[in-house]
Amino acid sequence: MRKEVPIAIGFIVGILILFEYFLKGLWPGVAPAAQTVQNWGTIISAFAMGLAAANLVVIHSRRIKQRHPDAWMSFLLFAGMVLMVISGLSGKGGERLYKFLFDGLYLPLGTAMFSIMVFFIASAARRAFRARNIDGVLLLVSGLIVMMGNAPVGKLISPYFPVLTDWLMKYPNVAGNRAIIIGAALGMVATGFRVIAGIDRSYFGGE
Amino acid sequence: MRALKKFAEVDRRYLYLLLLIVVIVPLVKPLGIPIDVSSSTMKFVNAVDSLQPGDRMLLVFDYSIGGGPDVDPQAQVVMAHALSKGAKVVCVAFVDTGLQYATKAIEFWEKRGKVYGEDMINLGYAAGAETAVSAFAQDIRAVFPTDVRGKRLDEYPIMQGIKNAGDFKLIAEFATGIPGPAEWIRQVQTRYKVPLACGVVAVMGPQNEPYLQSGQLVGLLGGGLKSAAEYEIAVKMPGAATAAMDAQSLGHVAIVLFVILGNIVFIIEKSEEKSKKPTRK
Repeated sequence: MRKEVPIAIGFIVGILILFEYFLKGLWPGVAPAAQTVQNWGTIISAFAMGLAAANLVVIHSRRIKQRHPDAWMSFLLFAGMVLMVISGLSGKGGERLYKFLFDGLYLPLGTAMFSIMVFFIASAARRAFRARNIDGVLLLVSGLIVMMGNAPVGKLISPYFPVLTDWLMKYPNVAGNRAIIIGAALGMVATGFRVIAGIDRSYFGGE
Repeated sequence: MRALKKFAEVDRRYLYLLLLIVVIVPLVKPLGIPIDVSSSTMKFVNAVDSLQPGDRMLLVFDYSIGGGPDVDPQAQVVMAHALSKGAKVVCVAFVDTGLQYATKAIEFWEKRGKVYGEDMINLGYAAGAETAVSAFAQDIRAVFPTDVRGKRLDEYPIMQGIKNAGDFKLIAEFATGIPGPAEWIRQVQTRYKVPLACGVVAVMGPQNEPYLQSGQLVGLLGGGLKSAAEYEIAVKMPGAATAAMDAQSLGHVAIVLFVILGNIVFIIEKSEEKSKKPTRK
């Protein structure tokens, strides 16, 4: 039963959504049913976030209990979690604190983490982006052209940079990406049918 | 030659410092490098321009904190443009942090005289990514019975007559991942035939270019901050993105120079290695 029930649910839900997409006109009752199932999906997703938070609490409580050398980080995580939850749930009263935490801490810290990447890129630019073979040369040259074409200064250096960038983006890039998109779409269709038919059971931990 | 080899050996922290200077100087003293508007940005501008006063546009804040500096200026200028046209803007998020960006945008325009519930509204955030997008598109009130302020959607004039995604004149989605343009095309544009325009981080631009060529997107801001700057220039509303363009330009030049110099050193080292090898007699 542990396997049959999830497979049956997967089959019913999959068929319902397929019918709603393609045969809505023939079977009017299918649309509200599909809508209900999708609403369940959003509710389950919201619960999954709660479950993830609970899992985080369990893992970090264990680290604190075991006096792990990085236990102070777990304390910091708990402090952040508690502060955000209390300020977020306490309505108008906690609104200012929540905004301060988001705008004054979370936002600058998050963006700083992303911005730091530029230093890694600078370092990698000197040491790693090497034209070792013909493929590497092609990648490097097209990358440099697109970088210069995507910066306003590129046109000042040479009017050909934006023109070449435009060509690279519209032709070789679109051709390659279109192939990937179509290939991935066919793969998705195949995987969808495998899930509906109960052949692919990876979604509940099977092979 | 020796200078080039020194460049290869120099402590990487000097490079970091150099890059920092190259980025900060133009922010303090702008150079005024001219910005050209690309055709994909112009298509987006035209899509928003075609809105009539009273038309409802859905503005989707599907972006995270990390990609926010790239995408948020796009969403801000598109919202400003739409409101300046007299269009009404319905904000929604399918990425948790997007809700906070939407809230900030709404507060910004409330302070400037736009009326909440009439000119704009913030529906909130729904978990579930593509499933939530699909459910929302089919029946908005099933996913959001109330807005973020807790009132029923029917109580707001802006939501009158809006039942599903097909009731919007234009959908503008800004994304840094999933859900992104592909999910919105699959679940909304194809089914409801509503014009969809997207703004994404620069790294996602190339992979979404085919959707623009196929007409599934009516506009694409695929160059991150640069696209936002182009949009600001096109609608004559220069803002944060335009101000940052000089810094981005010089940053690009610095990295390109690092790559070129690194490769010159690599070629020299390779030829030296070759010449050191004993030749067969």
